[in-house]
Amino acid sequence: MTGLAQTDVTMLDVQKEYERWLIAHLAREAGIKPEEIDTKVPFSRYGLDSVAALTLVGDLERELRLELSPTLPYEYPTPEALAQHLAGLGRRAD
Amino acid sequence: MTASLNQGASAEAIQYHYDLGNDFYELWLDPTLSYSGAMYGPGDTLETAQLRKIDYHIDASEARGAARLLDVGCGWGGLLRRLATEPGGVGKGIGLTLSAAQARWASAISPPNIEIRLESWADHQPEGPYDAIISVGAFEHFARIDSTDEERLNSYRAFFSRCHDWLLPGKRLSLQTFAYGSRRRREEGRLTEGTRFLAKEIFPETDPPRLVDIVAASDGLFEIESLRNDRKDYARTCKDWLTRLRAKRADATALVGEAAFARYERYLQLSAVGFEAGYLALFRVVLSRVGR
Repeated sequence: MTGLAQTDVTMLDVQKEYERWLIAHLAREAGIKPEEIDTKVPFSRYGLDSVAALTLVGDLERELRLELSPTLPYEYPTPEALAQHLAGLGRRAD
Repeated sequence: MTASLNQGASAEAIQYHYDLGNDFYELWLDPTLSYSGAMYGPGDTLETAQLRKIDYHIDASEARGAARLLDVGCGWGGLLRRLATEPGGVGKGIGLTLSAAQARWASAISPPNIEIRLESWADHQPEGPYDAIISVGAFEHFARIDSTDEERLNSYRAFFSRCHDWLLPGKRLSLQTFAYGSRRRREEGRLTEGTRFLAKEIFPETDPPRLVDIVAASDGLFEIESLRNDRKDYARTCKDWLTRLRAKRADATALVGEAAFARYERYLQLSAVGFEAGYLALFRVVLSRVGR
């Protein structure tokens, strides 16, 4: 029980870390303040077109040293959903 | 080839893309070397999804057991060989391609009743009528990026008109083509960075159609019996190709160099996103010939 609860806490921390990374990336690319980004709002609202989506995936690939699906921002269309997915990837890799 | 009949991509432009070397494509395509969107069913891999796609077109055009079949843009001939080796088979299968590398490769391994010709549909003069026509992944190249709307429509119309002349009454054309999606206007779609990259680096001279082009150009010649937009299938195909290409990075780079490898990686990523987001569509259209 303790082990499971610990895992969940860690997962949430990792997810929050990915959210912060995504917020920083989006803010930088869109030229807005990080506070203006809502993690439940779709990427497309922040001007993410196909090329910007690939830039995001490319930066993530370098960050994680993993090859990722190019359509991730469409399969997980908000920072929250994508961060949750990425946190799950890390757990599977462990 | 006369300019008025075929305003599509030139043989040189087609060869720029498809003549990079059969060995390169063999690294990351499926064993049939199908270089077009697959059709995924439950549990399918790329291999089985490409066969499902091939069978779909064979069924849709009622090509099984046909005396004469034409495959416009036959690529490496995978569809013709699959049909020829099936029960019922085909009397005579003729495939047209503009790629010399494809024609040489496909001719060498195809059975005697399959004939691969290095020829444009605009120059094709059949010895007799066809019972079925299939065209997968060729219509994309029938219009040039710099042609006017009228020239585009004329070129598409000429293709349907030829198919109409060559098919027996009531017979079918099964067409698969990617196209601009309807989520953006054509002018807008053409100006994006993604479209410009594809037009410049990957498919020179090529400008894909829109659904209205297919409908307008076939009107009065063919009845559209069914129409599917399977863009998610093409997104998945591109992702499968990308995974396979990346797994063979060392071999691929040795064959075509770092720059070409990076170009293909980018092209597959951009295409996957285009199909996933709906900027691009994948149409499978079954058309039956009207009139006597």
